[in-house]
Amino acid sequence: MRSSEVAKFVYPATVAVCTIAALLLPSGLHRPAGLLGGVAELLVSPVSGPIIKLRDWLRPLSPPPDAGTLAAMEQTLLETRTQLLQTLDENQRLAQTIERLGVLRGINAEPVELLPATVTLVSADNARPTLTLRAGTSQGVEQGCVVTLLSNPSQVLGLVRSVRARTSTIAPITSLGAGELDVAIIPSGATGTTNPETWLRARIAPVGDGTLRGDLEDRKDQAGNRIEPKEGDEVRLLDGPNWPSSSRMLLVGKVQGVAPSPRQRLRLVVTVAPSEGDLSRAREVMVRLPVAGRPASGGTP
Amino acid sequence: MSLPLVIVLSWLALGLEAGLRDSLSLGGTSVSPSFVLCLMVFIASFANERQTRWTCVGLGLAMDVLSPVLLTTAAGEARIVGPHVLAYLLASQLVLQARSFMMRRNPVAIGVMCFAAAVIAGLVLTTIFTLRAALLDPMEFGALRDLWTRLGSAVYSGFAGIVVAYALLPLAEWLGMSKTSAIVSRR
Repeated sequence: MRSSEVAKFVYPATVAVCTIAALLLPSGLHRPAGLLGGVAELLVSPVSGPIIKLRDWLRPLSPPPDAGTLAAMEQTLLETRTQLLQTLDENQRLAQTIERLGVLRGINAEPVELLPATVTLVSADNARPTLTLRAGTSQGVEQGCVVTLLSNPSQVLGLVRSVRARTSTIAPITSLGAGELDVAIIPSGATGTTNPETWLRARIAPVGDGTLRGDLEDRKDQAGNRIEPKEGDEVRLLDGPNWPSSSRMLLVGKVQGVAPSPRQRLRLVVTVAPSEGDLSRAREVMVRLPVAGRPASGGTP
Repeated sequence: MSLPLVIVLSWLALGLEAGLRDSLSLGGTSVSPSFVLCLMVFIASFANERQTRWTCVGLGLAMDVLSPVLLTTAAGEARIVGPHVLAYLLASQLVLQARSFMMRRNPVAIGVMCFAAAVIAGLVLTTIFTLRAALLDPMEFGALRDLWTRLGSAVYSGFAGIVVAYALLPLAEWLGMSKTSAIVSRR
């Protein structure tokens, strides 16, 4: 058979293979494409990397705060410091009590080590953006590690979905398909922070526009009035099936709005927006590596 | 068609896609233009059928491996080979059929073709991922939302196609795309 005749069959065969791969093969059999993806990301990074850096230089992620905001932040810092010291003092007293009772041994504090990393690529899928980090198994990153923002280490960015030797892929919590989160809505003010009974629980999921939305716990106060969160209340992470316990109480965002549920008018739906704007624009992040079970890296405190 | 120049342009388009898509998105939505699709439409407007097909296969494969799909299983994500290849091949068929009666040297005509091709590609991608979500892969997927996003992106890609056409039309001769096709199309 001549080469020109062979060439006639190459194109239909390619289309047939692609059709079978796209429509019939489960994702598990597409695993080799992940390796190709890593190579492709490496190849396009000389173009995409400088563009991302230039864009961030031209349009910073958040504008610098004005003098009034700075003064308010300093005041908040002082108040927080006082509260922190009070809490530490109380913690110390409680720790001594627990130690005396001999139960400290059974508690797993699950310490974490923080690893700064840079985002090298944002995926091309516009509906479900993922971020590629320049940190992989060689730096100790594992699947399921929690990633936070470098600018605000308490703000959750997402979970590591897959890891390669030098890179890893994370899905921001606002990305469609990132999954549901169990959260606590903490009323603003010192009372809300110190009294867990005032916290409202909710299960929220990304909706695709950079926010998360979900049904709110229906709870009434002593007077029988329904407790509703206010705009700006902090939303923090509780337990989730894929989230490690070290991620508890990390910041998910702030309440953006509360509205009646379109399915059940008597229930409320809460909309949560991350406190640092669009999470898919994060460029410098912090990976929270579990310390337990890892070999000593030397020099780590 | 000059293969090295097409490879360089594809590399640039893929880099722009990964680097600019996020910052060019409209408001808080995921509606953003596709530079790779604009390049595909430009090549399909001038190159012969065989070259167009293989360019679509190459660009589609690159887009497939650069677009992780989030799964709800422990695997986390997967890169599915095929959806973009099929989407670009079908979209290119539209351009190949329509190019004989379009003014290929007119950037607005390229922009209109980019819009139409992006609609076709968007429909194909949404259909494939809807079927996969229903039958093959555990993923959170809203077909209607995905379709609206892709149709919005198609309109945006149409405008981006005009800009891309202005940048690429001077390169048409270097790409080895025949002058005659342009002259014929002017008649």
